[in-house]
Amino acid sequence: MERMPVFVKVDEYNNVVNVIKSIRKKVEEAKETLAKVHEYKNEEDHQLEVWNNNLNEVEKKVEFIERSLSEPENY
Amino acid sequence: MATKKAAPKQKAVSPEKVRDKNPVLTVQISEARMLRKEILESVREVIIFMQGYERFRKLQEDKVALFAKLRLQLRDINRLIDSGLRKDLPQGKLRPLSKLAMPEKPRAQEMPLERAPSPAPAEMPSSEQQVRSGLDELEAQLQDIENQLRKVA
Repeated sequence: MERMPVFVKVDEYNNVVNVIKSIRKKVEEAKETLAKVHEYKNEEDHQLEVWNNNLNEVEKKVEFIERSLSEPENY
Repeated sequence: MATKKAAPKQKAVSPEKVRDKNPVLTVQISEARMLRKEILESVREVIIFMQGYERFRKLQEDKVALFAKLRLQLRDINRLIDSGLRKDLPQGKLRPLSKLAMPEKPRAQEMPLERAPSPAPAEMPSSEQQVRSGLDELEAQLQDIENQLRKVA
């Protein structure tokens, strides 16, 4: 039963081919959208990295300021 | 008869005494220019940080919009496969996935595998099935497809 050949009418076959074309087009569009999502995610990661560096810089500067104020020059 | 009590007179504190309690101290800053530069740069960094926040928020909004678009595209693909292909191809034993678009008619989770793929009328949907979320529905359909695939293999 499982090895029986399957036949499809030609007009339905054409419909199927058209539907498959549409599906392929939609899949391409979805892939493009997903690529954009990935791109945005990379940008977010980059932004987070920039923030991290930024905060480290600010931390260093605040440390310097604090040191300057709490350890005045000795005579 | 209540007697009025005179309010205690506040003693005038001389500025010298205040100065004794809170003496004015000065700290010498050895690298004043450098310190000023560091403070200004810190402020600049914070402003850049805040600008980055605005950019990040915009990115997130765009990403949410993209997710919605992706969801629609996947729904279209599902619809094309489900109604477009299934309509013209010989019917197999797989159940249709059209329930995603029509959640108001939940299908019974446990169905016999050999059942014909025609849209099955909901057999006495219980209240539990009615409140089942879309995620549960997807899970059930996925399980069913996996069972079918196992059978095919």
